[in-house]
Amino acid sequence: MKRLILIALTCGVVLLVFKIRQTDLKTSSFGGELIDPIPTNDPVKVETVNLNLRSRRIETLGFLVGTGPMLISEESESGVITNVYQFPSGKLITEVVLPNPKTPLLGSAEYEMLAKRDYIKSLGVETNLVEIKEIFEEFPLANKSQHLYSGIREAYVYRAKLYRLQDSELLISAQQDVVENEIWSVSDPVERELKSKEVYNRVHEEMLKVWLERADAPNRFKQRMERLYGEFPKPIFQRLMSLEITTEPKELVNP
Amino acid sequence: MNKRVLIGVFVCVLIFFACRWWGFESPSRLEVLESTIETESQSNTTVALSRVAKIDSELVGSVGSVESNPPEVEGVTNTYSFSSNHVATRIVIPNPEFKIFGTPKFESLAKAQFESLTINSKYMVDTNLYELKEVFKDFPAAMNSQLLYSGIYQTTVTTCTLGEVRQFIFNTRYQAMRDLEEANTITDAAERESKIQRIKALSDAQLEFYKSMRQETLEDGRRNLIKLYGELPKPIFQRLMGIQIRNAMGRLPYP
Repeated sequence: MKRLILIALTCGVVLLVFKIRQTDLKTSSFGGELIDPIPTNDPVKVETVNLNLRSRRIETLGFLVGTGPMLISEESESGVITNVYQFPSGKLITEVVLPNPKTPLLGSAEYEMLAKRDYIKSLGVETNLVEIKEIFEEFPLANKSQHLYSGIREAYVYRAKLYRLQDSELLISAQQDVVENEIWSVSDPVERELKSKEVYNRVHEEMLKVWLERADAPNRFKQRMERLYGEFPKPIFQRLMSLEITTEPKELVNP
Repeated sequence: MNKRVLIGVFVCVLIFFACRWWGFESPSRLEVLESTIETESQSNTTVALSRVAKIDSELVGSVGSVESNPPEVEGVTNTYSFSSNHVATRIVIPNPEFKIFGTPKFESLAKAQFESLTINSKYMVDTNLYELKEVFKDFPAAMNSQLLYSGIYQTTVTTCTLGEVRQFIFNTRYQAMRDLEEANTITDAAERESKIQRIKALSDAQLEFYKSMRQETLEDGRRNLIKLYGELPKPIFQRLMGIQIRNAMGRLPYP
């Protein structure tokens, strides 16, 4: 009898685990009504893209998961990225990034070809690209692969993104006087108090968003490198982190 | 008895999964609670630029930028002439403890400082200090030198100074942006044009100056590490420079 109960319970657990996995897969799709697609010049049909989940990353700031700000970033096979930012106030921001349909997928021969072309073209404006290439050439897996320039391109984009995010952080700090002016433009003391709360919350959230993006960027880069080369050694990553990229990479698009 | 415990455990697991399935800890909560929806394209760039901040020269000594003949002081004096006819002189006076740089006394002070910020710290530890130590472990000359902590200290001085220079660059661009906004309100076309040219020339000269400062900081850091260990492979130096230290290690307690 006891054996029967045990078997029944085991079957129940297995069934529930299976059901939950199905629910997870459904919730990670991107075609939901809650997510607005961005307006772009090129018409993009979200329904037609491949919605299979390729990667999922969770970034938190603070000591305990769930108590502080959090970013959940999901990327599909087709390159659609969904970022969900959760703030301590309970506010959620969902950001959907649709890839340009003219940009080939990372790992394709087309991407590599465009990346190589872009490397040659950008050398004149961004001299640190030579340094990036030197580092990748000392990474045997990248050097032997058919995707050397794809990796260089990814590192270029990643370092440029970090520079921009650093700028965003500095800009938020620098605009303290603008924030003060906004608050003091309200003459009524009670309304001013409310305005002050609202403005500071907004600025705080902007800063948290930048910090979350800065925390997520290296992990996304590492994931993409692992996808390209199978592994990505820490020393290579550290070396790339020392290079400053101040120019803005141009989009890789098919002519 | 054992079977009862086993059944109990199974029941608990079953209840846990059942709760998860029915939404008490639903993974789809984020999609349901979305209060704000924002969209952003992949090519969306975050604009960034800052106001002039106070120079924190505690670690590197006095950093001055003057347009006159330098006084007779101990240290390194560099004079810069820019294409815009601006001339700037930078005087770097090393902190007194650097008089004993490379000696066992400096090493013991640096080690005590490192330990006070890590194993003996009452506050949150910057784990990147351990990362620096890890990189040095891959560098036999440093490990065999008995001067490991001097190298760590020197590395933090260099990276923190680079961080300050980064802030100066941002401040210059931000200030120029605001000055240009102001200049654009001038009604007289000739006066406006002349003012704009002056702002651009000054900011270009300042940016050039800070870029030189960045290069010199890197060179000084590299030279000091070579002084300690006799050599410094480029990959090791790049890895060290790729590790961001949140706060400087502070002054060493030297009279």
